[in-house]
Amino acid sequence: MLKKLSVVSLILALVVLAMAGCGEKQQGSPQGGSQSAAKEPVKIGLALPMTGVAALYGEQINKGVELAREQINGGGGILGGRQIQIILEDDKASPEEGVNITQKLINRDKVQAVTGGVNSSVSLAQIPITKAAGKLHIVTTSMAPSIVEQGHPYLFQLNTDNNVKGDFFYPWVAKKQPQLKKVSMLVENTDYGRAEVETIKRNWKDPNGPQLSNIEWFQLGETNFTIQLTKIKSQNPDALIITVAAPATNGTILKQAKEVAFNKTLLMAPGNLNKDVVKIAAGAADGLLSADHYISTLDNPENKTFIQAFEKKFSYTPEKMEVQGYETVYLVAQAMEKVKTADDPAKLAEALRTTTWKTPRGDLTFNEKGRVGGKMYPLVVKQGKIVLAE
Amino acid sequence: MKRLPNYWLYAVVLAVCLLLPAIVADPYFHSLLVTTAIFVILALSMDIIVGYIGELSLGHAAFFGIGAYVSAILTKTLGLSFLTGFLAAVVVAGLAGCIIGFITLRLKGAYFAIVTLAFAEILRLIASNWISVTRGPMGIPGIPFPKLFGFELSSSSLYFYLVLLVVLLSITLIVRLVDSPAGRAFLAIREHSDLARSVGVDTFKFKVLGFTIATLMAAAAGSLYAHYFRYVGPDLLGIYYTSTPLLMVFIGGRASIAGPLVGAVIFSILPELLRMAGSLRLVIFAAILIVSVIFMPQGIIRAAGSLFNRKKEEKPAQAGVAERAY
Amino acid sequence: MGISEAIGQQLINGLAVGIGYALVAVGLTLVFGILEIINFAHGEFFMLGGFLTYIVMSSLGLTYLPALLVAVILTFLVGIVLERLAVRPVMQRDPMTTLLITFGISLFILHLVEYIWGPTPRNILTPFSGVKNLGPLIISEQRILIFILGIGNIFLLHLFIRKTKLGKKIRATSQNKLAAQLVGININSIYSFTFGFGCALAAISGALIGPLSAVSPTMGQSAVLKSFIIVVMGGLGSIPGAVVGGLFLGTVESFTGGFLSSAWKDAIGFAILILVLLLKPSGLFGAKGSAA
Repeated sequence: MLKKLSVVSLILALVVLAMAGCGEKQQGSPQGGSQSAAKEPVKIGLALPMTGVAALYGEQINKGVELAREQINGGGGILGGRQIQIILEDDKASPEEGVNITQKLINRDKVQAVTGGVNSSVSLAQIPITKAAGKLHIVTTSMAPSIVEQGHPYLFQLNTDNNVKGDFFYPWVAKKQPQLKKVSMLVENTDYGRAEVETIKRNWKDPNGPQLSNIEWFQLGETNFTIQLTKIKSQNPDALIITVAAPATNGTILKQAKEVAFNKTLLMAPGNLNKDVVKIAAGAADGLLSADHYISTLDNPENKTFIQAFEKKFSYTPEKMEVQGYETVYLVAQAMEKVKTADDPAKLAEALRTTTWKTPRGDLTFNEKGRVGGKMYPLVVKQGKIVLAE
Repeated sequence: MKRLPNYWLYAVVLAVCLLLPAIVADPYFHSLLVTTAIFVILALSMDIIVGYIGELSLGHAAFFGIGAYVSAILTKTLGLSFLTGFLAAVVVAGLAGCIIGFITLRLKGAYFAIVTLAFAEILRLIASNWISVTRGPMGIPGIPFPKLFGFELSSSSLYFYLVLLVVLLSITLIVRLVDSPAGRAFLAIREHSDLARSVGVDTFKFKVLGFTIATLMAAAAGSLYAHYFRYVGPDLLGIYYTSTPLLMVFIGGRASIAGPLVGAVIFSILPELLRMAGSLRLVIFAAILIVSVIFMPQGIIRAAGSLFNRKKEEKPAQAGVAERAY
Repeated sequence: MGISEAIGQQLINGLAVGIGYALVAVGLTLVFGILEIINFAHGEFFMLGGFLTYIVMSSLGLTYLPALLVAVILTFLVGIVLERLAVRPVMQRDPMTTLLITFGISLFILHLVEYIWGPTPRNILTPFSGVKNLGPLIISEQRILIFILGIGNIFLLHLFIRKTKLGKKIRATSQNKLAAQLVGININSIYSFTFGFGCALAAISGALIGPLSAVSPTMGQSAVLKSFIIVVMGGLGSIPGAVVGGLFLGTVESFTGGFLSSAWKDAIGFAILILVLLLKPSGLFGAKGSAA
């Protein structure tokens, strides 16, 4: 009995020591101290879903991040020769994991800024921690409008949220498609989906314009929509709005809509249309209308250089996710260059808010809450390609 | 059955735990301590069902989730105190556990397992769709820190002590349970269910009792989780919060105190240690799991113990072990 | 679209979905009936069927049906190997351990596929991408294929178990292990074969159902939960139970989703399961396996 207990306590002790020991390796540079820090890398923490259902986005964003890092470091780094070091952690799309890795990035890796975030629930769990630690926090892709409402003074949301996108798209639809009166909606039961419903209702108040007549909710993970699509078809709407974030699901819905011979106008909630959706829809996406703040054919000098460099490095044409990854690192680095330090989140936040940044998406600005504003572009799918609509 | 353990060894382990937050002053380490300790409670509760009663519940996350949601709703939405929320969480889960146990424990083996899984799924769907109460998939963020005697527990190390306290309570509860008539009944049920019934042991009544206690404990873990991560969502009712304590108990060693403890500690550090392996990490993790189950069928503590005790070998009993291995 | 049309269409939708469910469930119930284990990795074999079909098509250039065949055979072999390496060592112990092992196997396969080929969902291009009209009702060609092959497979399975020598050996093993061994049946081979066969059945359904949406490493996880429900509802080990259960669940879901709400559609299966087990604890066709 005694022997067993000693074995147990021995194991426990070893294990606890391992826990304590395994983190000591990265002691990090002394805070501030710019004299000795000339060659110290600037550490940026990056939290992305690298496994699980959102892993595709994590990968795409990370590629953009990689390109930015390479370009900046290749050009001599920032702040007099300091290299950018990206510390990537997998948040597994779980708020719990998000909290743990944020703690690790801040306390163990001693990063200057926390970036990343695809799932809004993860970002929302991370924000109290970065807020308490007074760290600069760039939320790369999460879309929930509540993200900038948490009272965090150094937080920025890089992806246009439901409101910015919707306030452009839905009035545009009302204007350009005046024949649409009765519109059904197939929407995912998530905070994103619910926020989108509110945005639509807010923009379609005119009783002479389009109206949301039916809303069909579904759970994440659903793969068979023939039942709902048949139901929607029997409601006889003029159009259907598909509000889903995941490309595979969007593509599936389009495919199955064709299967049940749903022939009305198809609208996709802005921000979700990309080449993966079109590919999976296998021809069923033609004629689909949507909008986004970025399309790879945008005609501005930053975008042209970006596309060229990206295609050279990764051999495919990037889309919004890759751009946002790129912008994340680019903005942090540029802000640091501008205020000539990596260690002052208040100054960095001020610079981010007061500057008009030139990025591949065009002119980028943040409002006083850290919400990004920007130009939106209407899109249409023509013969399997996403192009600008009139 | 062996008598009580050597108290002094447990005291040493306890002392180490109490001093840990002071020895290593890293907040990240402290948050790992809290997460581990919460899973210790969850694993201990799973052990009651899987180790002592000998049934496989695949719906354990349901009670963890009930604990988390009840705590969250009472403190965030209704503004009640942490203690009220915690106690309510435990009571509600216990009632649910009693009812569900009563309905499902009549079924055996695989049927019980899948029905419990179905219950957890139904609860998850309710949590996802009852927007007015649970806010559905948006979850409930901003859950307040616990306030005990006017003092707000906002630091991880202090929170760890709170969780440690609940761990100790849980262990005491289990020790009492196992040494009671119920505990002896569990032993009889595991080893010889029909024989037990034939001598008049009311197996069903004891199973429901044990199940209820396990659900109380799981809810306690859920409540502590809610007040630490300060966000609850329908994912808390998902398979992860059933499979993780299940693995911890199995790999650590069923029907013991040390088993779930060791299991919880290992499963909390292993992912940290494997971080360097990148996406291969989860493949390695699964492989380690498979190998452990094949080569250490009774769990780590007994495999380690038998290294020291060649002569005294437990016979791998039908659903667990003949005696508690501590 | 009138109300009777809507009913008719939802009925077709329901049966189409139901036959898919049934196909996945049959493999699971077979494995339980013969080996008495719940294969938690069943969903991952379903995924392998679909995913490997895509891989074979894109890297070897085969067309859909030949690729399906290759994928199913590959999955069959993977199943046999895993049974031999990971399942057999623990089968003599308690059923919980076996369940845990299959859980470990499911994690292993899922993350290995994710690691090798990445998380991107892929689209399988089948030659059955059109739709056919039955009067005012519509059904897609792929779903007709699923019907035909699904029913065909189940029928062949039935013949196989009843009429062939190997089938007889399998039945003998499930009825009385000791007696089977005494008459010279190598039960270890029977176990391996049956396990592999169950995996192959899962793979066929994955390959058939995959093209309806998209294939990805995680596609098995949601599929398998429903098949557990069906298998228990129909009675563990009962193939007719799995078929009836699958069709029934598909149809009920279709009507619930089509005329009530989606939230109910997902919950109804679990609710029915609990009801059935309260009334008949061994499942509708409750045969093998323990009841109350």
